[in-house]
Amino acid sequence: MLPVARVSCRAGENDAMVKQLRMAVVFAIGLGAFAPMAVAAPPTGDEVLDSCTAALEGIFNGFDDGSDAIAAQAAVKLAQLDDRGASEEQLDAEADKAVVKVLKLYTKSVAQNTKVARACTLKIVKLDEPALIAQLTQIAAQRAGVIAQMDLDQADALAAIADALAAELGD
Amino acid sequence: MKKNWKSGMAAVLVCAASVFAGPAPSAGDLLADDCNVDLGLVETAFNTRGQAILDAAVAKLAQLDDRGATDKKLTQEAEKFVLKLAKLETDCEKVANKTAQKCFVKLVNLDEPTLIDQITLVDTVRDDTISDLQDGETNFQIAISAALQDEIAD
Repeated sequence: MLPVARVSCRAGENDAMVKQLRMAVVFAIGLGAFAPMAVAAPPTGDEVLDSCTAALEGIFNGFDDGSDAIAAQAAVKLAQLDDRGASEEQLDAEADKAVVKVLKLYTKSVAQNTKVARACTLKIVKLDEPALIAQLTQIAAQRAGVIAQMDLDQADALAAIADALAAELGD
Repeated sequence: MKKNWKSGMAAVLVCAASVFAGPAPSAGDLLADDCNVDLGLVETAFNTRGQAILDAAVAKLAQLDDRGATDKKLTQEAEKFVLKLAKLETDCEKVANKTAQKCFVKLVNLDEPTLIDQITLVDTVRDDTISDLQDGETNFQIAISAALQDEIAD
C-alpha cells in the first residue's frame, strides 16, 4: 500500500502542511496564468502581414471618412454663407479652408501610411522567413495601393468642394 | 579659337560619359554592395579557417600514422576534424544570416524606392554564400577523408 499523507484542515493541526499546500496551490495557479505568456510564440510573417493590412486599411478608411466629412461640411457651410448673402470672396475663402483641411489630412495619412508600412517591413525583415521577399513585396504593394486610393479620394473630395462652391456662386 | 574648340569637345565628352555611366548609385545601393562585400568576407574567412583545419588534419594524421596509430585511432582523429569543420560551417552560416539581417534593417530604414530590389540582391548573395559554405564544408570533408585513406593505406 502506498503511503498517503494525512492532512487535517482543522485549526491547530498540521498548520505547516496546510500552509505549504496553500502555497503550492497559489504557485500552481500563478504558473497556469503566466505559463502561456512565457511560451507564447512570436507572430509569424503572415500574422504580421495580416495586422499590417488591417492597420493600412484603417488609415485609408480614416482618410476616406475624414475627407468626405470635410467636403460635406464645406457644402453645408457654403450654403449657409450664401443664404446669408456672403460675397464671392468669402465663399472662395471658405472653400479654400476646406481644401487646406483635405490636403493636411492627406499629408498626415500618407505619413501614417509610410510609418506603419516601414514598421511592418522592419518586423518582417527581422523574422527573416523563407518567404521574405514575397512578404516585402506584398507590404510594398499594399502601401502603394493605399496611397493610390487616397489620391483618388483626395481628388473626389476636392472636386466635391469645387462643385459646392460653383453651385453657390451660380445661385 | 583652337583652344576653345578643344575645351568644348572635352565638355561634350564629359557629358556623354556621364550619360552613358547612368545615374549615381543611391545610399541604399552602396549599402547593399557593402553588405555583399561583408558576405564575401564571411566566405573568405570560412575558406581560410577551413583550409587551416584541413592542413592540421593532414599533419596530425601523418604524425599519428608515423607513430604507428591504429586505423581506428586515425579514423577517430579524422572525425574530430570533420566535426570542427561542421561547427565552423554552422558558425559562418549564422554570421552570414546575421550580416544579411543587419543589412535588411539598415536598408528598410533608408526606405528607398528600390528597397525590394536591394533586399532581394542581399538575400540572393546570402543564399549563394550559404550554399558555397556548405559546398566548401563538403569539399574539406572529402579532402580529410582522402588524407585518412592515404594514411590507412600506408
